[in-house]
Amino acid sequence: MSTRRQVLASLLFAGGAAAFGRRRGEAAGEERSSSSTLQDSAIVSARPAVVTPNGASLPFVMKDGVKEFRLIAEPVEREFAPGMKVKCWGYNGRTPGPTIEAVEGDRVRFLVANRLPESTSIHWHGIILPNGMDGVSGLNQREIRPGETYAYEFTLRQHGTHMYHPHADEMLQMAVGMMGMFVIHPRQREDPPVDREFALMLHAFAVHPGTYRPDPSIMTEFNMFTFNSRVFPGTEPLVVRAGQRVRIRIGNLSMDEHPIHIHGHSFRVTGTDGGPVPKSAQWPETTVLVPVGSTRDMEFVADNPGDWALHCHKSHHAMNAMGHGIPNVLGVDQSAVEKRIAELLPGYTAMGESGMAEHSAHAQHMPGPKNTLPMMRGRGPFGPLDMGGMFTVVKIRDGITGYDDPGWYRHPPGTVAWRVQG
Amino acid sequence: MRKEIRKRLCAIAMASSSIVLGCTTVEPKRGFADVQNAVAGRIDHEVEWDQGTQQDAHVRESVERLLTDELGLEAALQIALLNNPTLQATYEELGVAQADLVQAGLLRNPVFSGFARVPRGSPSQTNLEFDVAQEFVGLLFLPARRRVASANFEARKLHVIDAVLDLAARVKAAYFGLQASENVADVVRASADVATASAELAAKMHEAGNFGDLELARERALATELGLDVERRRGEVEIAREILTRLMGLTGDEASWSVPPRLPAIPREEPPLDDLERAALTRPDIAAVRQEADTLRDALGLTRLSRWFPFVELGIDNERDTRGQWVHGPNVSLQLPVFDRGEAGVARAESELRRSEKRLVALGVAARSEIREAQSRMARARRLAETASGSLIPLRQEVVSRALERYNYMFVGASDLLAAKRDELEAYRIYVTSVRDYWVARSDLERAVGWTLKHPQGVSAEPAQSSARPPSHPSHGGN
Repeated sequence: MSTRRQVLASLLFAGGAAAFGRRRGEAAGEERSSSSTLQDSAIVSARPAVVTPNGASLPFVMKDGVKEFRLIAEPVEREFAPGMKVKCWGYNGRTPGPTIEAVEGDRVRFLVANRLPESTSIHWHGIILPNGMDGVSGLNQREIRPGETYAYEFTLRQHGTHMYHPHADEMLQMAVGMMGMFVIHPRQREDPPVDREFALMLHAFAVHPGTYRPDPSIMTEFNMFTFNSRVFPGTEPLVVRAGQRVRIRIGNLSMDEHPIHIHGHSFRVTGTDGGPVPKSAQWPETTVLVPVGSTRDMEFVADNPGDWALHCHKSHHAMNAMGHGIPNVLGVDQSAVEKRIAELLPGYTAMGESGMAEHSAHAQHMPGPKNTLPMMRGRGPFGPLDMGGMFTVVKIRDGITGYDDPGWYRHPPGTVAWRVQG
Repeated sequence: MRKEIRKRLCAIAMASSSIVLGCTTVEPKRGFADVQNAVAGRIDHEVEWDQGTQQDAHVRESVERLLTDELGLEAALQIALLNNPTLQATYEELGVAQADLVQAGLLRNPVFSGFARVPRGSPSQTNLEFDVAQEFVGLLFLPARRRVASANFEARKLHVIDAVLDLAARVKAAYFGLQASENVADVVRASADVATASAELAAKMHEAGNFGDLELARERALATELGLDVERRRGEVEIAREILTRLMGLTGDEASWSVPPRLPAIPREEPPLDDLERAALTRPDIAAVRQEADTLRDALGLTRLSRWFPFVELGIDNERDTRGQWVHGPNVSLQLPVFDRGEAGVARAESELRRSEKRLVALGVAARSEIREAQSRMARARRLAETASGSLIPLRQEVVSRALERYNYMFVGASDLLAAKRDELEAYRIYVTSVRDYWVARSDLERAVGWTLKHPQGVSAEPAQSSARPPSHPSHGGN
């Protein structure tokens, strides 16, 4: 198991030889740019140091010492979770776009091809670069028209967690999913070194029930809250070996701030998209509030094995869509009326007198609108989990050698809450 | 000589009277058989004239038998045709016309006059005079008058046939109107039930402290409003029942009949509807007016001729004067056309004829237009009903299904569902009124052409009952 630094170092010496790294387990398929083979230069398959759950990293080609990446801005179809497929816009076949990984000091070049029906551009959020590479169309460059390809080139003079997103018709293009993480690894060795890191892009979509496309006119009433454009139970778990130092890089290009909370551990916020936070300034948290248009790096040692929830603590954000403004039936005895209504409306069942959990049970076998997920879903080893949206699980296991899903945690005896009476 | 004249005159008198005495009996039922045949040929139903005979007991039994079951359209029609008292009154016109016909064949009675004049002085004898006189022109114009009366009789028959068809059309309109108002009352009641369920749920929400007084009052107000509509519709049903009861001539216990609750569905195919405007020519009321015009034409001819012979009386006069001398001889009375030369009478007859002819034209225009109008209404109602049942109702049902999906996944509440259900019921109400409009238009068309429309196979277009019912709501995979 080589360290991340060694892996990247090996890439720098790749020279003219093709080098294909061993791929780590990922939910998504292999990531390749669309024009794969060039005669004169090596195709370097990035052996990603950052794990992008339900995503991938962007490969590059070395050309005369410049890391050249290819990004294709295009319409994509994204499955938010099984049962819901959404027509989005993204990069290289996915939303969020593939995570860009480079090293502080690299000269990087991005070839951006526009296959969207309208003009676009790419802004490199938080990156210090020449003004003409900043990507605000009209201000720093002419827009990239449909069918055109533009090149951005600059030298990276910082490290940290950054993002990339359009800056032409920005509101709409972001609303339908165009964004991605841009991780710049430090040139110097880190202390303490991080053993495993993840990238999570937070976002919110408004996909009205029964529809297939996000509504870009929605400003506050979003209903699908995503980690890397997936919702629970479609979110891939973050698999970690016990004892590893873990960094989770979180970006937020949605319209709301999100308080991201982890169970079983506390952490420190060690960086923002502005740069690293000095150790003396780092304070302990179990929840990091990630503002809009910001990134936060949080680090902790995974010393508490188990299946730990990682989720946005705004409770509606950890649910899938529901109606807001439906009548409140909590505590309402509907037994007499239910039969009467069911005679008029075959298939009607009264729900909600004792809470919303019975809805989840009913939703298993009642039809819902097309392409719509029930508000909560999912099963754990002990029964219905009933969450949605921005919810995932960090699986910390002793002594694993691979990072495929290890299944549910097997609890040591005496460490599970037990029923006492009644 | 006198004896011979006397004998000859008597012979003529005897001969004439024997001719005219041949048709003195009035048989009112003579024309009715023609009416019955015409009615049967046009609308395939029986009519009977209630004249207090044994026949009428059979009619009574038929009516009672028909009343034991639910009344289909044909049964209601048959009862009305047998039992409607106004129609029975109309039949008497035949009696009147027939009597007129007989009357037209009768000569005026001879008039016997007798005088006895007692002289004042003597030795005179009582002056006796007697004569027998006979109005003469009548004999001349007898055939013409009979022709006119006969033509009039024919016209009356046609009027009676028309009255039968008119009653049949009104019965059909009343029947379909009743079924439709029952259908609509059902739909409105279902809609009120939906609103009541919604209000009950609101009451439970209010009880639990989850609804305010405003929300509750709103729901209850709507349920109450729809309840008022139910009452109104019930009233419409009762009125429609009374109309049909009147047309069928039923009273008392007989008035507790029932009809199948649903309108018949519109038949898939129309009967052949080409060339119906031609039918206007043979319609009984038009034929009656045409007949009347012919009658008046004849009458005009008669008037023109008879103005020159307004009154002629021939007679035989016998007198014994005061000296006891018998004198006798013919006498003649004439009306002298000095002041009244009959022009006014002719002018009157001419105007009556022209009036009748113009009425005929007017009726012809109206009949053709009525046929076109009824066809157009029928076609439109069919299209509306087909669109309502083929598109609108299924779409409203889909709205309900999709709303239920939204409810299952907590996107909408129960009241949205119930509102969608009420919309579906409204769509069904539109369908029902279109079906009624079709059948009423069709009956109007039949009235306008003067016979029942038949499908090519000769099968009547009355399909099975209960086709026009709300398609059952598709149920979801249980719960």
